[in-house]
Amino acid sequence: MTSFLRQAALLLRMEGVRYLRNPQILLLAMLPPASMAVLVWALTLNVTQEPVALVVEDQSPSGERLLQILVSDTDAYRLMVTDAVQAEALLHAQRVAAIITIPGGFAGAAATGGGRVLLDLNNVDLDFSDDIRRSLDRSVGIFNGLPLERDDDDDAPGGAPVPSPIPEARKQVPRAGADPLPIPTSTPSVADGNPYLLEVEEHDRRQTDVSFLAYELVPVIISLVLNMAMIGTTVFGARDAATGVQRAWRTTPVAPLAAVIARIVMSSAIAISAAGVVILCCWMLPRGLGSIPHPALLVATLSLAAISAAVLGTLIGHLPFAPRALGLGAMVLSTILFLLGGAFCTVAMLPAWLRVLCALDPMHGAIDGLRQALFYPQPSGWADALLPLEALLVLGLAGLGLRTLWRVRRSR
Amino acid sequence: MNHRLVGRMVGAGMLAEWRQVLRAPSMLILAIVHALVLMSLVLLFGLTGSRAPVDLVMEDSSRDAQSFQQALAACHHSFALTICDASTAARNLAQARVSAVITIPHGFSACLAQRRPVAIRVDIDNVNADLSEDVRSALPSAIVAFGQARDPAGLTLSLVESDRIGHDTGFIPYLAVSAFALDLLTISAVLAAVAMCRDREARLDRFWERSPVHPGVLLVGRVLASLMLAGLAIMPALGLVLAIGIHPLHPWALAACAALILVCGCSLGVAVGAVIPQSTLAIALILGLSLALYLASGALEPQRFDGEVIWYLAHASPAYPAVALLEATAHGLDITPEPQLLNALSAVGWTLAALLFAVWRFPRRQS
Repeated sequence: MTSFLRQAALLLRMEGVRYLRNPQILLLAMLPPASMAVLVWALTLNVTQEPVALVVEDQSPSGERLLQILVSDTDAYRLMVTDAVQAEALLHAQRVAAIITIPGGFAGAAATGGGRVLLDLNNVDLDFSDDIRRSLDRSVGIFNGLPLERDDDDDAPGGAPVPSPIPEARKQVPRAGADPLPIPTSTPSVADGNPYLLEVEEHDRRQTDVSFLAYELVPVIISLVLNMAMIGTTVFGARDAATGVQRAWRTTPVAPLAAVIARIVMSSAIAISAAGVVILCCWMLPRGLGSIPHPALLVATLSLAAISAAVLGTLIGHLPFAPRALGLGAMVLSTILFLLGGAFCTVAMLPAWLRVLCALDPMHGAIDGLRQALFYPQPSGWADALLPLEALLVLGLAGLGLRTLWRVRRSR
Repeated sequence: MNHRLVGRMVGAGMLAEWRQVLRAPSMLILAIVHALVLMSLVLLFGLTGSRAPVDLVMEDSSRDAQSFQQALAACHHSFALTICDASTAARNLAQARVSAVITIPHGFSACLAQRRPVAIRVDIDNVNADLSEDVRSALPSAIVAFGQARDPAGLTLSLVESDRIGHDTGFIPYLAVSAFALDLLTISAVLAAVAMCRDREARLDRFWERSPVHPGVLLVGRVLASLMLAGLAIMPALGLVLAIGIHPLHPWALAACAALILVCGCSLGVAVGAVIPQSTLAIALILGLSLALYLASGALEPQRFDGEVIWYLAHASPAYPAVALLEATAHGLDITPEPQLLNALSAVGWTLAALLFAVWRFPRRQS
C-alpha cells in the first residue's frame, strides 16, 4: 500500500513538474475564457443602453416633460443633450446611434394633437435600431398617457436599475408552486387620461436578483475548467505518443493506466484550483457573486466538469493524429461544447432540433448545474442538469479502460 | 542572388506544403470545420437577438383583437408569435419553450368600444435580462402602434422616423458577414503558423544553414501554399453566408477585400509562427485570441456605440478594419467613422507590420 501511495505521489509530482515546465499550456488554455470574460464585461456596458443625441428646440413645459421622460429612461438611452449641429457631427462620427429632436413649436403642436418627436436613426443593424425604436415608442406612449412607470428597485445588467414598464403594484412574482397562469382577480385601474385604454399587467415567473455579470460569469468559469482540464491532457498525451514516451512506459513497473489517471487527477486539480481562484475573486467583488448558497454542490459541479473534461482530453490525446491536429481538434471541440452549452444564448429560444443537441451537451449541464449551485435557493434541478456530464465521464472512463485493455493484449 | 534559384526554392516550398497537407489532411479538414463551427455558433447568438418566441392567447376574436395581434406581430421584429389556448401557453412557458405569454382578454373589443380600460396580461420567463427587457419594451411599443392606428385623435404626440440607410440589415446577416471576416483571419493565420512551425518541429531546420538561399525563402513557398489552402478552407463558410440569403452589394469588392484579409491573417500567422516554434501552442494562441479580437471589431454593432474607450482599444485588433471592409462591401454599411480606404490601408499596415516583425524575430540559425 505504501509503495502504491509513493508511486501515485511520484506520478502526480511528475505531472505537476510537467505543467510547471510548460506554463504556456496553462496560459494558452486561459486565453479563451479570458476573452469571454472581456465579452461579458463589454456586454454589461450596453445590454439595453444605446448612445443617443437629444436636441431640444422647444423649452416649453411640454418639451420639458418629454425631455424628463427621455432622460429618466437611463436603461434605454445613453443621452447626450446637445444642439442640432453638434448632434449631426456626433451621428456622423458614430458617437451616437441616433438623434432624437424635440422640434421648435412642439408645445403648440402637441396641444392641438399634432405633436411630433423626430428620430434620425443610423440603422446599421436591426438589433440596436429596433431597441431604439421600441424605447422611443415607449417614451411617446408615456407622454401620451400610457400608464407605464419606472421601477428602480430591481437589479439590472451590470448593476444598473432595470426599467419596468409597469407600476410596482402590478408586477406580480408568483410563489414557488403557484399556477403559472393565474386568472386575474381584479380589473386594473387606469390612470386618468390614458388614450390607449390599454395597460400592461406583468407577471414574472421568477424573482431575478442575480446581476447579468454574475449570471454570465458562470459560462466563463466553466470554459476555464473545460480548457484547462482538456487542453493540457490532449497536448501532453499527443506529445507522449509522438515522442515515444508512451512506449517507454511499458518498460517501467508503473501501469500505463496509473500514469493516465495521474494526469487526469493533476489536470483536474489545476482546473478546479483556477476556477476556485476566479470564484473567490468574483465573490469578493462588490457586484460579484454574492453569497454562495450551496458550496458543496459548487465543488461537486466543478470537480465533475474538470474530471470529465480531463478524461475527454486524454481520449483525444490518444487518437492517432499529429499533435498539432489534435490541439486544433481539442480547441474546436471545446468551442462547440461551450457555445452549444448555452454560454451566450438562451437555449430555450433556439429551434427544437438545436435544443436537443444542446441538451446532450455536457457543458450545458455543467453551466446549468453551476448556476443552480450558485444562484438557486433550492437547487432541485441540479442532479438532473449534471446527467449528461456524468454520462460523458462514464463513457470516457469506459473508453480509456477499453483502450488500455486493448494495448495490454496487443503487447502480449 | 540567383533569381531562378529563389523561384525554384519558393516553388519547392509550396509543393512540399501541399504534399504534406494532402498526405495528412486532418489540419485542413479541422480548419474547414472550425470556420463552419465559428460561423454557426455566432449565428446561434444572433438567433436569440430578436423575435422572442411568444405565445398569444386570444380570448377575444374581434376585429380589435386581431388588429392588436397584428400590431404585436409588426412590432420591430420583437415577437415570433404563436396563437394557442391558455393551457398550451402555460405548458410552453413552464417548459421554457417561449419567453412570454401575452393574453388578449375576454371583452377586449367591448371594453374599448365603451372606453373602459383593458389589462393586457403578460407572463414573462424573466431568466434572461436582455430578452425580458425586449418583451417589456416591445409591448408598450405595440400598444402605441395599435392606438395610433385605431384612434389617433386622442393622441398628442407621435413619432416621425427617418433612417440614414435606405434598407434595414437584419442582425443575422450582419453577424454572418462579421463572422466571415473572423473566419478569414483565423483560418489563414492558423494554416500559416503551422507552415512556419512544421520544419522546426520536424527538426528539419538544421538543414537551413546548408541551404543556398535564406531559410525565409523556403518558408515563403510554404506560406504561399497555406494562403491558397486557407482560400479553399474558407469556401464552405462562404457557401453558408450565401445560403443564409446574403447577396453582396459589391461582390467584386467583397472578393478583393476577402483576399486582402486572407493575406493579412496569413502574415499574422507568420509572425506568430516566427515567435512560437510549436504549432500546437501557436494554434492555441491564435484561436484563444480570436474571440477577443472579434468582439472588439464592430462585430455586433458599430464599435463606437460601446463607448470611446472600447472604440480606441478596438483599433488594436486586425479584425476591426476587416469587419468594416466586409460590412461595407456586403451590406453597404459604414460601421467605422474612418473611410473604407483608411480601413484597407490599415489592413495593409497590419500585414506589413506582421511581416516585418516575423523577419526581425525569425531564427536565422538552427534551433
